[in-house]
Amino acid sequence: MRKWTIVVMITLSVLSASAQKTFTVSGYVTDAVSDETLISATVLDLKSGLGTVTNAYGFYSLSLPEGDVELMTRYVGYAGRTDAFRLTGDTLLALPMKALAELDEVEIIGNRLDLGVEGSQMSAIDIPVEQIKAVPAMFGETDVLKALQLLPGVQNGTEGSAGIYVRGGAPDENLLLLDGVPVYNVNHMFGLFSVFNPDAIKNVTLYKGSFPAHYCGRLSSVVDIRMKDGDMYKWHGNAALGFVSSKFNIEGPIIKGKTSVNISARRTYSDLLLNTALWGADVLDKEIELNGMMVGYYFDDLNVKLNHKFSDRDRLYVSWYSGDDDIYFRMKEKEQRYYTQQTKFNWKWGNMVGAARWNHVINSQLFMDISANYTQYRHHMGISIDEQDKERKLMQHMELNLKSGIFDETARADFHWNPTPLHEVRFGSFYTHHLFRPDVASITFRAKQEKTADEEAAEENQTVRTGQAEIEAHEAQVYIEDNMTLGSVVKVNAGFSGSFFNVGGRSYFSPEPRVSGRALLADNFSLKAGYAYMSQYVHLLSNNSLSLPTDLWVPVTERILPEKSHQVALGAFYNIDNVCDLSLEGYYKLSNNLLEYREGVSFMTGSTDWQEKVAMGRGWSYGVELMAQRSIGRLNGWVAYTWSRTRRLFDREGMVLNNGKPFNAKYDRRHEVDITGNYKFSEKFDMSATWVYATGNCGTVYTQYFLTPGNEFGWQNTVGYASERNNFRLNPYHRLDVSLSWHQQFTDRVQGTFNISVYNAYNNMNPFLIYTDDEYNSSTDTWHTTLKQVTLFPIIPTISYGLKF
Amino acid sequence: MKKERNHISHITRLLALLPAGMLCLSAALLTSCEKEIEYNGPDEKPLLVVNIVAEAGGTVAVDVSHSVFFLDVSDNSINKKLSDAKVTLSVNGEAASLTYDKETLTYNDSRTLREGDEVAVKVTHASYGEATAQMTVPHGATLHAHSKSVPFESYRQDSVDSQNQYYGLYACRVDSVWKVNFVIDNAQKKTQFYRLTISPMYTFRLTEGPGMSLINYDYGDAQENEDGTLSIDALSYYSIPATTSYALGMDDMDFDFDLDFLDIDLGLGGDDPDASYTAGPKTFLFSSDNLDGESGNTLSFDILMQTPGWQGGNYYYYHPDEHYITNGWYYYAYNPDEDHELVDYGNPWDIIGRTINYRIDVTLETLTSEYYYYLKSVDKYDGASWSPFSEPVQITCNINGGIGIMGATSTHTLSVQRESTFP
Repeated sequence: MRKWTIVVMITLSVLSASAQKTFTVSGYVTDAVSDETLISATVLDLKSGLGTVTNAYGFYSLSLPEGDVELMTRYVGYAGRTDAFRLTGDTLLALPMKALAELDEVEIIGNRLDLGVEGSQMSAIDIPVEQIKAVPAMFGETDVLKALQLLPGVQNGTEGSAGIYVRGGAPDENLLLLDGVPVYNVNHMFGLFSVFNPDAIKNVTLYKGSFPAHYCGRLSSVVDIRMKDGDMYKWHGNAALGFVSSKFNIEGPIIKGKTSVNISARRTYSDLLLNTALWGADVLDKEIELNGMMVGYYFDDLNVKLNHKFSDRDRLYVSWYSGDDDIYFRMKEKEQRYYTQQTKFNWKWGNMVGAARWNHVINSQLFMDISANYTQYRHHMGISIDEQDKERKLMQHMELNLKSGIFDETARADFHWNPTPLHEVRFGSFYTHHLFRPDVASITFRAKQEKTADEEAAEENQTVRTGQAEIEAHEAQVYIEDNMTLGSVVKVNAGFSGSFFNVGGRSYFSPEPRVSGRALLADNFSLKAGYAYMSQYVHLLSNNSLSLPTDLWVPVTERILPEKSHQVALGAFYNIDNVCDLSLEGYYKLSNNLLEYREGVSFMTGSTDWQEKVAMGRGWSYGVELMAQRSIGRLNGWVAYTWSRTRRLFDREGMVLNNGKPFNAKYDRRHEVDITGNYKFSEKFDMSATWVYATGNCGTVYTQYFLTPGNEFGWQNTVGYASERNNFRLNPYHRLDVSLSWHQQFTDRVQGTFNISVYNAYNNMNPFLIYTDDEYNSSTDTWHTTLKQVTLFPIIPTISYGLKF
Repeated sequence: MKKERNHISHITRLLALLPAGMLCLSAALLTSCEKEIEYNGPDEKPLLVVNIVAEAGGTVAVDVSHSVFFLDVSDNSINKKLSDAKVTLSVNGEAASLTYDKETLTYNDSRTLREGDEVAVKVTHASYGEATAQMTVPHGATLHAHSKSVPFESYRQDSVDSQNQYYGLYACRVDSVWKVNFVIDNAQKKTQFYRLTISPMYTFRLTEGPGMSLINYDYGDAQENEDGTLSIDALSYYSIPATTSYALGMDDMDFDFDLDFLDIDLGLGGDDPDASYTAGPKTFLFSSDNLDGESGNTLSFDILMQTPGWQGGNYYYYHPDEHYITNGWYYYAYNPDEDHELVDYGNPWDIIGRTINYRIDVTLETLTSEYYYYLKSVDKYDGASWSPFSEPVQITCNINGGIGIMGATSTHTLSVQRESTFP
């Protein structure tokens, strides 16, 4: 009965809308100076109360009744604009907006129509990149994912890690998209930094639940990161010298008003400093036999985006990202008369992401986005040894390579259709060809013997390959969703996604309904509810504590089934005078076929098939998230509090953990508080600070030791006993970070910024891990066992200097 | 190929240590802060520990102790036996009269247990509270065997891929393959839990060659035969065909002794069940549910019959006519009269005859389910204890109010023999 009521309401709303003559206003909302498209800008007709937001490409389409229109456009950090005109036909209207900095006004943060009080979407947060850059950072390196960790419902893993745990989900349950393309390994430096360079980024949106139907493939979150398109009219950029890395960003027109480019690059340079020191020591001190040694570690990133405007209706975007981490060691023995040897070791891993995208406005109501994407994560470890025996005229080369990775090619088509003022329909599909390379090893041996008095000429060349074969998989999705306005109070986004995955002759299909809706009970107060059913077909085999390059993405198999989750969320949203947003959300998530390592298994040892190492089970998490965000003024920021619980149950035959009883997940944390504030003292001086508090992580400690029964010889062993898995909680985690910035205007176009950041300002010894230590006392001939805690990062002050030109 | 795989395996294993090394180095650099902390978690109070493992046909001994809080463990050999506990034991409802044995430190019942007996125990101690447990002695499954020998040439090449086999530092040549099948008869129409121990033994008797007499043999396990010759038991290698590997469950295989720190998974084919060569006595824990697959109730083992020549000990022969002594498995002959001058060397089997006796001893224990899961958990615990990266293991206990295990077994044993003579 309820179903029919909804259908009738929808039909009536469509009929009522179509009874009046309507026309469509559409176009791009852009930065007035650079022509950069603005994502999620609000376009609202004050006369009819109808509104929309721009899509990921800055395009809006709003069907309105014929007659007078008063169109108000708003966007984060920009002065709002109002356009009044009489609508008598379909209208293409570009809406360039002026940035507030130019107008010397206060800053506006957040307040998106689709995510705030008025929107139907819930469990989503939009973060402008300027906000991310303002957050104090470890080693002065601002980081997108670490900024996300300050939001309610989002947790970090171990200290310093860029991995995110959203509403009780594991890091591999997050879909991280860079310009719509998945990025598989988001970590640099074993997880201390993420691969997303803030200089290259325009916008970040996080979905924690109630996922729109066009997203699929992960259980817990979607992080949609969009790169900057590049300024269409003038060249400008910035460069920064930091404690860990240096970076630069430059953007500008290739053809003014038609084609632009944005290039960002960064690189760490500790290895360059180290090798310079080694070289200096080698040259200056003859007693040191460094043998031309080079050793180091670095990571680098390169983001490039090209944007070409064919017309007001057609745009082409080409996005590119490549980033690597590299550990290397090279040693060449000093030239000797008869014999030389050179050894090289290289351990390199990284992502490459590319997308070519064509946006076409078919008509004022229909927008098309077609793309071809490629993403890969590859890991390579290699060692080679070259030997030359001049006396024997023998050359030998031995090389060993270990490779693994995942390679995806995707074709995707999305359509945005606004048929009436009350419906924003989105539909589309994609197909992805996955190629998984779990582990491949090859060893090459080459030897060349020249003819000598004692030896005949000979040559040998041998290569042996071994490891698991490459695995091909096919994934596809079709979806449709409609963001419906059902009267002045109710707005619903209902959608359906059908996902398909085929691997090794086995196919899985999953119909996934999604719905999210709001009831606007006052102009500034709404209640929201949402439900999402998600499936995940790829898993990350990873150690829980650290992000290692050897972490391996593997597909579902006949035995390891797709992970599934149901999530419901309820929330209340309140806006105070467009200054402060308050939100309260509660969620319950039920997951199935989750993976955990089996008891006794080590992620890095054993010659066992990975399927034998993992167990499948269920999990459920629930919690309450509270957020108060001040968007306007010299003082802005937010306070977030999360109360949550995450439990696991692994009781399937042969996959039992914790004796088949429920247990706390490792990152089950009862309380988490994040306070972030920015204060602008003057044009020259500003300050930001964050304080975080979180209940400690869970771990397993053998609290009692006891004797086992004797074996056939009567010997009894001692074993540890833990009453349950994850029975122990580490100490709570809390930390204050502070950042101070001085800005200096050299010329009209050149500004310098000097920044001092202090990470963990009051030097709290936060727990990274605990272990037991046995100390022998020789005077009493006894052992003493103590519990010790290791802290990774004490107080870390850093300075950096940046130039904006 | 096998040899190549071994080489690759060694190098890649070493290489694979590098990530761990880098991590340790990074951790060492970053781990600048370490401090002792107070324990503020649960389960500080020691628990009553009760252990009973009884066998049908044997008697019951109750081992009572208490656990030790981990921060109070002073060394690895905690011994907290309790001789002042009140222990009551009943078999089929009849209370036992227990005596405390001061040598074994256990409470003993003198009655003999039978299959199907129901045993209950209650232990009370003034400091550690009360613990109870009960069990039923399982009905044992029986076992019978049949075997045949096949020449290597007609053997499945996918199971033993080369006639030349390499086991660590040793190399041998497979002469033939002795296929031995064991059939488990489970009269019980329910899931049974087993521990199977297979011990392929390789016994050879050293005989005196022409013109020689055996004067000494100093191998530790040497046995003197009735005919005056000596025998040693040597480990025999075998492979386990896939069906049996499947039936035994890969993760149930007790290959603890084969684990070493370099055994790092690089996907180099180590997970091929047919490649699971092993030697000497091995124990497998599995349930009858595992046997419902392709293998039925039959477990197959392929014993690799090695060409003699590599196995040996430190034995000494005297050549009265030649006046010199021969010793070693690759013999070196020294003249005792002329300052031990080396006079000859070579393969001892060229001059010494021997008889080889192959025997397989099999023990099938039917276990109570709790004891089975307990043994599995201890096995995993032992395997994980060496690695800081291993997931924690919970020892399965079935003692209410305490910890420990109460379990029972019913045992059936079998021997199969094959004899070959090599000149």
